[in-house]
Parts: sequence; C-alpha cells; structure tokens
Amino acid sequence: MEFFAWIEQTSIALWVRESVWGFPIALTLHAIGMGFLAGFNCAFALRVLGVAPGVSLQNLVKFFPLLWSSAAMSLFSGLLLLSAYPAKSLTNPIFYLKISLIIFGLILIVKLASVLTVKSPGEPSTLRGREKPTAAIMLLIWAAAITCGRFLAYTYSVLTVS
Amino acid sequence: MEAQLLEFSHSMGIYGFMNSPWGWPVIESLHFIGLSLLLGTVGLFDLRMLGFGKSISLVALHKLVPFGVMGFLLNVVTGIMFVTTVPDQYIYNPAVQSKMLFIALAGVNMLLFYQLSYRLVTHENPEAKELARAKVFALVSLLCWLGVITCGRLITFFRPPAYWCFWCG
Repeated sequence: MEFFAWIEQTSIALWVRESVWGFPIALTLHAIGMGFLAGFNCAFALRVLGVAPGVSLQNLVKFFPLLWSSAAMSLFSGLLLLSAYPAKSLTNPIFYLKISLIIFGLILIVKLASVLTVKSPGEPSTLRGREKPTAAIMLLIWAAAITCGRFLAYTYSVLTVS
Repeated sequence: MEAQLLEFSHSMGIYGFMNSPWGWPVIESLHFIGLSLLLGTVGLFDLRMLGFGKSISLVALHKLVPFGVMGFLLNVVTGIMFVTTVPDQYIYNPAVQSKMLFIALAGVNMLLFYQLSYRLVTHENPEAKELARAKVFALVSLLCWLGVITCGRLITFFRPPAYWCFWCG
C-alpha cells in the first residue's frame, strides 16, 4: 500500500490524474493501440481460418511492425494509466487476467506465425493441424482481453490509497 | 428529441437492460471489439494503400474489409443503445457531435473511394496514378477513424449542460 501511495505521488502520476489532458490523452492512445493490436491479431486469425486466402501468410507477417508498435503504444499508455491509479488495478484480479490473456495472445500469434511461414504458406489446404483451432482461440482471447479492460472501470474495490 | 430517444430505449427494452448490473459494461466491451475489428481490417487496408506491406495484393486483402463493416454495424447498434439510454449525456456533447462528423466524413470518403478507385479492389497490377489517388483516400480514412476513436474517448470528459449547444434547440 505504501508503494502504491508513492507511485500515486510521482510527478507522472499527478500529471495523468490531475492535469486537464493527461488522462484523456493516455486513454485515447490506449484505445488506438488496443484497436490496432487486437484488430491485427483478429485479422491474422481470420486469415488462418480461411478468410482472404489470397493473402499469403508470409506476406501478412510483413505487418508485424504494426503489431509490435501498437503493442508498445498500448504498454506505454497502459503504464501511464497504471501510474495514476496503481491500487485500483493491482488490487483487482481482473487486471491480472487481462495481462495474462494479452501475453498468451501474443505468444500464440508469434508461434502460429513461425509455424505457418515455415510450412508451405498461402495454401489453405495445408492448414490441417492445430492452426485453425488456435486461430479461433486467438479471437476469443482478444475479445476476452478487451472485455476485461472495460470491466476494470466497474469492478475495482480501491481507487487511490494516498 | 431527448424524450423521443428515451422513449425508444424504454420501448425496445434497451433502457432496462443497460441499467441492469452488467448491461452497460457488456455493451461497452462489444463497442470496443467492433472498434478493433474496424481498425484491424479497414485500417490495415488503408495502411497497405499507403505503402506498407506492398507485396500483399490489395484485391486479396480487401476480402477482410467485410469484417470491418460488421464491426462498424456492431458499433452502430451498441452506440444507439448508449445514446438512447442517457440521451442528455450525448446529444449536446461536442465530442459526440465531432465524432458523428468524422463518421460522416469517413462515409463520404468511402463512397468516393469505391466510386473512383473500385478497380483497385477488383484488378491486380493497378496503374501508378490509381495508386497515388488511393493514398489520399487511405489517409483520410485512417485520420477519420482515429478522430472517431479520439472523440469517443473524450465523451466522458466533456459533458457541458444542454444550453451550451445553441443549435440543438
């Protein structure tokens, strides 16, 4: 609790929490990062499930810089939001569920991409193994991560401790 | 207008659902999922037109766009659920009004794109002139959707009283 109180009083936390634009800027960056991050993951999963078969997976991987930059943007803005209200999130089990889902989702897309680009890509008929169920799980993971994020605003038990 | 919107919400059972314990956050989650689908497909297509991932065929990538349209329609439905349940929080709000303007702009931009650059989504190997024109559509589209998201996130921070909006009547 003392640690949370210390974070809450850092100048970054004060700026995010108390300035006019700090919180809305962080929230907006977080929403845009989320949109591209979850959105690209869904587009990739849809492709594996058979949508847009003309897009070869080796080529779709060229958009991975978008995946990583949107992940970095979400992480950066997420840390700003976390610094403003550390106790609010870190005392909520849903926050840990959300982070676990995101990490699991990122591991899945990296694994899937490496498996699919090594196999002969671009041929839907070669996707017979666990790739399609994995892609379906990816869709569920990102929907769940977004839902957890939204519910964080409604399920906290502590707002601030200082 | 406020009264009619509220009346709609009550008559459709939206009001009761949105005021149930988890109604509001569940619909918000769907709104964010729709947003992600839109950015992940239409946004990806825009980035491709701007020159990212050039080895990907535009014709092939365009097959993802219907999922973005589904995301948008999901957000129209969920958006109507928010607005009709607490109309006074939305209709006088400049963030909401700007958001609607950005959506309208994105819509006009989309119509012009399909009118003038339709060949891009049906024919491989487009001409340089077609590609250059498409970059303008792509940039406008991306900026509009980012504007929509930004205004959407600002809604909760900017709720002036009704008299602020002099043209709302």
